[in-house]
Amino acid sequence: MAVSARPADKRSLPGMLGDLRLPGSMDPGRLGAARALEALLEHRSYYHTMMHRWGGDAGFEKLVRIFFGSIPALLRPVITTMVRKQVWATLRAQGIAAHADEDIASREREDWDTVAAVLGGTPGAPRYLGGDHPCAEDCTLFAALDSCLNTPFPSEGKRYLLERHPALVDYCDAFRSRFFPEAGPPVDAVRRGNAFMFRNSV
Amino acid sequence: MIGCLCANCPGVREPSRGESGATFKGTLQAPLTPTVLRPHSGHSCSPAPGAVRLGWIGKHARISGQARLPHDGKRRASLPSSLSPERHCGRPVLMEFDPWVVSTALLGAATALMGWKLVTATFVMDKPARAPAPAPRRAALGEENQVFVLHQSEANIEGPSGSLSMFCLKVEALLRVAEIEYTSKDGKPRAHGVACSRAVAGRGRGSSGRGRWVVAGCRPAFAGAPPTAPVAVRRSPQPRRSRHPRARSRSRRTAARRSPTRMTSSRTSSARIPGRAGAGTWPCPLAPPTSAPSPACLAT
Repeated sequence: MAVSARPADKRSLPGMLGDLRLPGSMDPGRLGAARALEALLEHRSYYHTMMHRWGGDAGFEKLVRIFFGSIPALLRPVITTMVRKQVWATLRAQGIAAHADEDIASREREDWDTVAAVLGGTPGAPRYLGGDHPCAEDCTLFAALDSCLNTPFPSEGKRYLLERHPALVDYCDAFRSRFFPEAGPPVDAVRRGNAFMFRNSV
Repeated sequence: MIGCLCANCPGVREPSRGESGATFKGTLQAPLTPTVLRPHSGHSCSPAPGAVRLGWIGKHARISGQARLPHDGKRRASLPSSLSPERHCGRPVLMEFDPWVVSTALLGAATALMGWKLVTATFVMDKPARAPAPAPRRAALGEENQVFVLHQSEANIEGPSGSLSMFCLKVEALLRVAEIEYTSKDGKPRAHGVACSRAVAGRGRGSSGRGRWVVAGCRPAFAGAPPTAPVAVRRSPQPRRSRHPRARSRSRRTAARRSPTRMTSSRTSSARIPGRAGAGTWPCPLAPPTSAPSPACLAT
């Protein structure tokens, strides 16, 4: 089902909160799948993202420039090392840091295959988890896709999404252009990982 | 060294060569080290109970041979006040502590304390459950006339960590889709557009996203119901303004130099920009379409 235009009077639609489809108005099976997908994204894919940003040296180098660039150069290694050790301890406690990089990449591919299978849709005609209107879990899905695709951190998940799942990429772009119009279209250089998110630091 | 300043004391001995301490014959030239002075056994001038006092014999105190005789009436001019014979043989007995003993005792106590901390930190485990304070009541999605509090106090709704942008973006996307009034941290979207924009108001502990934020808003009328009265919107706590004015002006200058598309880490309160949709605010659904946002929305 394609994304429909915004209704003229959303108050006439039952089970809606603005453009948000409320859980009570969703099909129970669809709602359950959406919630399972949200759990997958928040408790598994999220840590894959953290591994790419904090665990991998390539991602961490960019992370330092983005988030710790304002720290004086003399203090920066000390602080970043401390923070990285704490994050690494979190990742070890969660368990993701115990996996090899190849295993993490494999898990990422599995995750996005699962998301694509649950979401459905085709390139150019994305659909929401909530049907023709986004539900709360759609917001989670968009956030996961956008933080994976439109940030300069390299990852297997980003590469896999761009190569194998154009429907998910279109879903992210459509959601972004509809609800975040001021953000503009995604920057290809950032998506490819060749540029930072800051234009003046490319 | 143990000695007694009393002239009647038969047990005073001469310090051996090189030994520091008080002597009762001749002038003591060597620095007087801390000395334990006790009433000698068998001596008549036993201290009165409670009369023992602690003091410190000055390093350069000189005790002359004459001064040692408090009972014979000879001069005792060079005696420090703490060695006053009246206060000694008059009952109080001076007791001095060796600084090495004192410092060793203090160091030992500190070492023991640190060791105990180390042991407890290593082998004693806290309870796994911290029993955090319960989150405030949250309105369910679609609930009428309720403040939609996403995150308050210690309860973090943003996700497992909240330290990366995914959960910030999730919250903001939810607010935008639901058309819930909100304001972002610095009043404008950040960085690459949306990923770091925070749907937050109030104060936090920095820009990492892990902090105490309150998101409150008014929800639109539900399912065809007429617009309701303005909801009671909770005020988020004001940001801390304890920084030095010079630091604040410096951060303002820094923010002014930055590009609008560049990430900022402003700690200022969320600046509401009425009617500026997409720049950190989202139109309030209770507001008339052609006017500024309603007072209820502005009160957030």
